[in-house]
Amino acid sequence: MEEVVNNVFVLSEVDLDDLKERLENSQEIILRSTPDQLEQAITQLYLPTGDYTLGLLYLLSVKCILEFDPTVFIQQVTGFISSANSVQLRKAPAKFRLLCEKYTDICCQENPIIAIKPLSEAIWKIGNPTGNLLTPQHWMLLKSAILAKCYHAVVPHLKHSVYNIENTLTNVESKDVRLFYYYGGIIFLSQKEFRNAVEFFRNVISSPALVTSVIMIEAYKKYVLASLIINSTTTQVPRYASNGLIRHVRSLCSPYEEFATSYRTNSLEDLSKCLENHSEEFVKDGNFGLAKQVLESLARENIARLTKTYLTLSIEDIATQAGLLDGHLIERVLSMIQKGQVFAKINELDGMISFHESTEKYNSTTTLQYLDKQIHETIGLYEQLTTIDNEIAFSNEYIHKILRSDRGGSRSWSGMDEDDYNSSLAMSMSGM
Amino acid sequence: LKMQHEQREGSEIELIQPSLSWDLGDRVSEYHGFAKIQRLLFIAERCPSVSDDAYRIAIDELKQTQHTAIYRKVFDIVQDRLGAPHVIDTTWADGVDKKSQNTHERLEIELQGFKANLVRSKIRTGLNELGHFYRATGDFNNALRNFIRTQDYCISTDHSVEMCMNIIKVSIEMGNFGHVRSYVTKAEQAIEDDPVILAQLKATDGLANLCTHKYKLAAEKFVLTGPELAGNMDILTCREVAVYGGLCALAEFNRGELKRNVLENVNFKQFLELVPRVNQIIVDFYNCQYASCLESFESLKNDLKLDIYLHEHIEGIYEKVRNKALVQYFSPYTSIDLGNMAEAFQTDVSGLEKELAKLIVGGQISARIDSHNKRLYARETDVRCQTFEEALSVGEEFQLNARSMVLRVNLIRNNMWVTPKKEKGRKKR
Repeated sequence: MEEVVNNVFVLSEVDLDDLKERLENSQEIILRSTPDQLEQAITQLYLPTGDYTLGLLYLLSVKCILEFDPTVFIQQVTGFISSANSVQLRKAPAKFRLLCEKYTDICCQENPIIAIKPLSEAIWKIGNPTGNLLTPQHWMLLKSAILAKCYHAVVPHLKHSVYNIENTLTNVESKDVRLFYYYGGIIFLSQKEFRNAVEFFRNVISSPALVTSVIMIEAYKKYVLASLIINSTTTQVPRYASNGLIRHVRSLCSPYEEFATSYRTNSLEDLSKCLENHSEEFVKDGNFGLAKQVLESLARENIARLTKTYLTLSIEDIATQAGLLDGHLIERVLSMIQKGQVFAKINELDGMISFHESTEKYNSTTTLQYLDKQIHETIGLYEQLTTIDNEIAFSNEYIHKILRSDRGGSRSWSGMDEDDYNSSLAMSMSGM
Repeated sequence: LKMQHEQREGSEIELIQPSLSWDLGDRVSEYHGFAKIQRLLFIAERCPSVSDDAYRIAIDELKQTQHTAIYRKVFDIVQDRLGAPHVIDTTWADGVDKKSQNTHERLEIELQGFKANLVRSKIRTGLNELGHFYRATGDFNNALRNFIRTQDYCISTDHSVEMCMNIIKVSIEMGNFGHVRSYVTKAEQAIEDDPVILAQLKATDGLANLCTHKYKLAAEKFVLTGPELAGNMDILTCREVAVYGGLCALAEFNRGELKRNVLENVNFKQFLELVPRVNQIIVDFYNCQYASCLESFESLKNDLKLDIYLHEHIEGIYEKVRNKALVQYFSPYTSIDLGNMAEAFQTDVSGLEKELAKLIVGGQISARIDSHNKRLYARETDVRCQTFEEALSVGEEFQLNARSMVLRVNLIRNNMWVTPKKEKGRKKR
């Protein structure tokens, strides 16, 4: 053990790769040391400047496998992360990941709010300062936030347009990505930002997949409910999702499919009956609250539809046509007017509600600014896509594949003629 | 007795009482043979007041043909209740059956002979004779098979046209309208300049479209039918062409098309003169006399339900015409009192409100209902605002899809797929 600590002291300034090798080889020794020796080593290596980050990392990660005192562990890891040195951390991202996972687990059992700040720091230490490199720590942060009910702290992380993924730097795995989007979707749901939630869940269910994972199934269930709330036209699995998912969805998520079909009939009665029938399933999945929100959304949609057909309508007529049987009609309409979903005036004397056209004229500066921002963002995205497309088209693998299929006798389609082939081969040779 | 196009097995057959001006004799006198029998049996099922008469005429007609299977079935239904001379004549039936069998054997042997000697023209005529034989005894599947086989032996265009016409007629009797359409196209390509055949082709094409719910196409074909059809078609009469064509045109043509193709079409006018009531309906509609138009249509509906091809479609056509009338009625106004409109369309205000609501939701009227004052207000859509809305939503959709795409590409490039768990023995499904 002494040797290990000495190695760390000596090599941390000098040669990190060598140190890493030695640490890898010394894992047995660390495992066999006594708890006291381990604690001593840790205290020795802990420095606020983080000079011995790599060594400390290995020691702490070994601790994960052994028995230990949770409070001490939490303290140590918190301190470790805040003092850690990014360069050294990046030498062993896998270990860091393990450590953070264990840390999150423990914190979530004790007091999740502790984990939030350290994990945010961890993200930008192992990722990059702008935070758009997706790391395993992202989902750990989100999970802690959800359990601590402390959503506002993490919302900035969700608002990035696109995340880059670099496996080697951050040791992020496919499961991490799915978990990130799943938890992100849940946070959006809690903030009632349903459109963003739907986007995130859709990302989960359309992950490239050879088999279907439980995360995807759960995400699909929430995806259906959230889509119904924003009344989008489809709750289908996207075409580019894996086929296996579609099959499994049919067998595992049938209550949700039924719920969606009954929503489409626009009948509140049918929908509430369906909700009652499947309430057990919904509660078991933790989606009952969401399902109730779907019911509300149907009521609002029915009212909104009436505004397109009628200029004025009596309150009883609205109630019967929209299928709203309870007496909260006026409050509902009032809240819809306030949120800007409907433009109307309530005449309590006559018992009539008169609907108006939308007053949005799209002729203000806000519209202009919004348009401008959207245009820029769209151009940026389009450029990204074109770059990716070019990279693929000029890559060796793709060209060889085209050649092979051509030679394979499919003469009916030749993707490129002589000139294209020559130029693209030339470009790929010149190292594009 | 199951007619070929009565496909709804368990559904109840609606019994209909025709209007006073409807006469059984008139309706079927123009037909003979299988067409007449088809219609008589159809009417007999549905109209109890003339059912006995219909069966009597059917039995008389059946005795002139070789359709012994239908003959026996009719007597299963009717038993003895019609009295003499309409009781089952089994000797006649058996005799016809025996003769049919003999003819069948003879024709088959002849055909084998021709085939052995490879005499093309004889084989063709042999197959045709067999086809006609099967058709006369009601075995339509075999008839069709044989007629289709003659295709290999057709040398001249006349032969092809003859083949097409045979197939078309059998297909109509079978109720297989897909065949009708394809062979009509074939025949139209082959034919040179025979107005009779052309008229027959247009009429049958129209019928096929009608029965497959393509009313606009049906109308287009019917109005192109030449008057040479008269007396030359044993499946469809001019009267039927007039009725079907006129009603489909009313349901589907817009004002311009109606004027050009129907009211100013000299040929089709000759057809319409045969059915003055339908003619009146069309003229009323064009002149915006909606009340009288819809009234006459209503009174005609019951009679039309006894028509073998139209009965399935008449409610749909009526609704279309009524909706068109509503839309046309409102089109010149910015606002209109619902009471007046209800009177013009012979309904009450609440019923009218419901109909209008359906049309608005369906996008056929751009208006809004003032339920309080019972008025209908036209609604101008602000195209500019609509454009903005659409543009913004398309943009957002694109961004969403683009972001997802970039994410997926990143995942695939880093080789991050959902894979089965390797460590634990349990495999994720």
